[in-house]
Amino acid sequence: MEMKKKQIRELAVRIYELDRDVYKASGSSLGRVFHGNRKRHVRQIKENLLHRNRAHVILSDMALISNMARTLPQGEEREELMKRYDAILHDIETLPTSFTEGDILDMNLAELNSLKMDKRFSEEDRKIICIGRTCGSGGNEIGFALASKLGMNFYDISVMNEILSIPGKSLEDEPDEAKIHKKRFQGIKKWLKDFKDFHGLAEQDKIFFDTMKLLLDKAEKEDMVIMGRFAHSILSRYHVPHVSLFVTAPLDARAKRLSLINENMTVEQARKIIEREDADHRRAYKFYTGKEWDASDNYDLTINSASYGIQGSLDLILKLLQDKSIVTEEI
Amino acid sequence: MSGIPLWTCIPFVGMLLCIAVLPLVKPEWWEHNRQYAVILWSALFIIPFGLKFGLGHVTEIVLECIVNDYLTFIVLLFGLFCVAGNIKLEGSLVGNPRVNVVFLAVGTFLSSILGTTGSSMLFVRPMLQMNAWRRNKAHVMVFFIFLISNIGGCLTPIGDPPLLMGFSRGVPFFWSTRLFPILLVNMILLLVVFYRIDRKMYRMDLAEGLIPEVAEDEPLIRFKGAHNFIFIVVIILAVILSGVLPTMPLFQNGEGEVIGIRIFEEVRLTVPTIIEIVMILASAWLSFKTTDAKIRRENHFTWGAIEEVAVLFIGIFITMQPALMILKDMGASLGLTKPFQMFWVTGFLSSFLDNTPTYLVFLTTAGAMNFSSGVRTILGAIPVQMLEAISCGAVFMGANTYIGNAPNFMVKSISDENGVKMPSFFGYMLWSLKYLIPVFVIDMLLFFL
Repeated sequence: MEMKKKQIRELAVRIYELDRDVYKASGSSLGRVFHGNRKRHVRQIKENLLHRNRAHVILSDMALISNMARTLPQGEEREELMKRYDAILHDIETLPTSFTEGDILDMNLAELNSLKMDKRFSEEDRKIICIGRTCGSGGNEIGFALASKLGMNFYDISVMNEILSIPGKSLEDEPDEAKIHKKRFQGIKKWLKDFKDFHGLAEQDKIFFDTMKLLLDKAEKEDMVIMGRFAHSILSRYHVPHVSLFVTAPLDARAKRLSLINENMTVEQARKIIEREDADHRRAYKFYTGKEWDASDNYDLTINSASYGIQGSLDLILKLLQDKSIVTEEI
Repeated sequence: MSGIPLWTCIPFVGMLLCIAVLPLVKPEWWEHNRQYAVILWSALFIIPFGLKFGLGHVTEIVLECIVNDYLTFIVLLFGLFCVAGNIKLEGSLVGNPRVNVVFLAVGTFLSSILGTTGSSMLFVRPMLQMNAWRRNKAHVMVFFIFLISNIGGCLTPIGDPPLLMGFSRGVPFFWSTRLFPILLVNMILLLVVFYRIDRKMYRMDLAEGLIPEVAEDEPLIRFKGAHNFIFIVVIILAVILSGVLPTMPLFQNGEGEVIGIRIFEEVRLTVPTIIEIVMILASAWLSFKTTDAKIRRENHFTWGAIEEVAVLFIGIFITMQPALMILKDMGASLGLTKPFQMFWVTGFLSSFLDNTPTYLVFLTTAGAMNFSSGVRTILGAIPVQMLEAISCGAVFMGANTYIGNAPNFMVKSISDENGVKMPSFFGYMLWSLKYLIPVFVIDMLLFFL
């Protein structure tokens, strides 16, 4: 098993390096298949090699690399690169089961499978717990208490977004309050300025990309509890081991709780706010991840906080993490 | 000549099928052997045609098409390919739906100033560069071909060769600006559709976790080798001169024929053509001499794309001759009297044949209909709506296939070489059937009925 795992990782590294070397030989970044972080790409290629339904992606990537390689002038360098290309294709074909014949996914290798939570984190991996929550469900309080209990750093994606949207601020600076952005058109001058400042990207997209980079960077360095709807999706995409939880409660219970917390808010007002925010979250989540925000199959565990309360939900999560040997702290 | 049998078009069909099918079924073989397909199909036209109509006649036809059509076509393409390859547009702009829409819109308008070939060559690499971080991007280059490589060229005679031919036959230089409302409708429709598709693809890229590498400290746009714009201007000037000089008495003999070097029988390389070729080749040469090779390297400049186009299109140009001759014979007898008929027939034929002779055939047909009013050309008066229909058909519908207009195949080849999996010949036609034809139907309903 270890052999297969090693073999696939090596193959992923070779594919990445072939693209890198072809790119170097051509001297142009045009046509490079894998831009950016090596570790992330190797992880992605490895995952694609493991899944039958991603085989077309690997084959398409290989075709693009070879197209680029063929544009190099005839000579030793091109010969050498094409030989490496052929060798990689050959090795792909000799994987446990070839792409054309069937699935090479070995369940024993699927370390992110939620049924195998106890084997999810290796010695080198950071312990990361992602918590998504619906508005008014008490998810924030649960996440903060969990981080305190486990002695982990606590981050909120919406706070990250807020800070990344202010030039010159860093994550260490405390924001006044994490707010959901409401984008309004503020005139052509502002639009042009934003266009320049965000390199043609929409402000939300630029912040999303920066948040992704920041999150992936932090995920390599520290154990943490991270709040926010995108965190687990980003980490899953880059195959960073983590546990994902979703905290929700019936609408009536959430509206009631929100009106209790906010003195001047009626239950009806709270309900409207919750519905609007849920809709915003659902839309943004769908846009950036292609998935449904509140679908329970996206998460390892979905908790109805109305059934357990904040402390009960916290206890439940701690119990799960202990049972699966993800944390060893006493409750 | 009349009575050209339909079977003489078989080599043209064979040539097209080879271009369409062989890259799919035998890509490696095709890459190394496409020149043999060109020789084979050209021979299959030349030999039987020569046996039936005489060797001298077929030689004249082939030389005429090589000297007067193919040579100027490939020299222009080569010149713009070389000069544009020496301009590097770089910066921190990130390819995403709105940036792509802005780029396509600007490129479309510039096509009428720089010509569809010039604009395509100038914009293709920046477009690829900006979108390099994305996985789903073939549609960007497809709409690039639709808009920048074709539709955008309708506003001036510089935009697309058929309009230049119209200009040299008496259509006023700025007459084509009348097509602006039609261009605008097409642009708006296609850009809205493009935005929706690109947004969907962009979301797929986001969902895959792709992250662009943003050069934070870089300006949005920066040119390297910007002095090459001078050479682009010279090339555009050469194109304009090729349309203007033949009409000047200085370049005509006593019988009103354009002076030039006799090659064979009636085939002559005219002096205006020689001037055009010299200006373009000199621009390309000077561009290479005055630009740091590093820029070409950064642009991933290779000869692959121009080589592929040069080889394939000489075959296309030779084998399409019988189809053009049949068209010339039959053009007047097709019974086309309505603008919408002209639009579709000119357009359909321009999708597969060279759009310049196709345009001329229908311009001549319309000019011979003895209209009493309209645009006064040396071929006769042509009603405005009729001329608009012929012009739009020839310019717009070149976008229907990869071979419909010169830059289409170049953009495909350059994209193929640079990390984009472009659709096959038929795959591309599905895109045009799905998105272009409905727009052309709207054009017909709004402007040509």
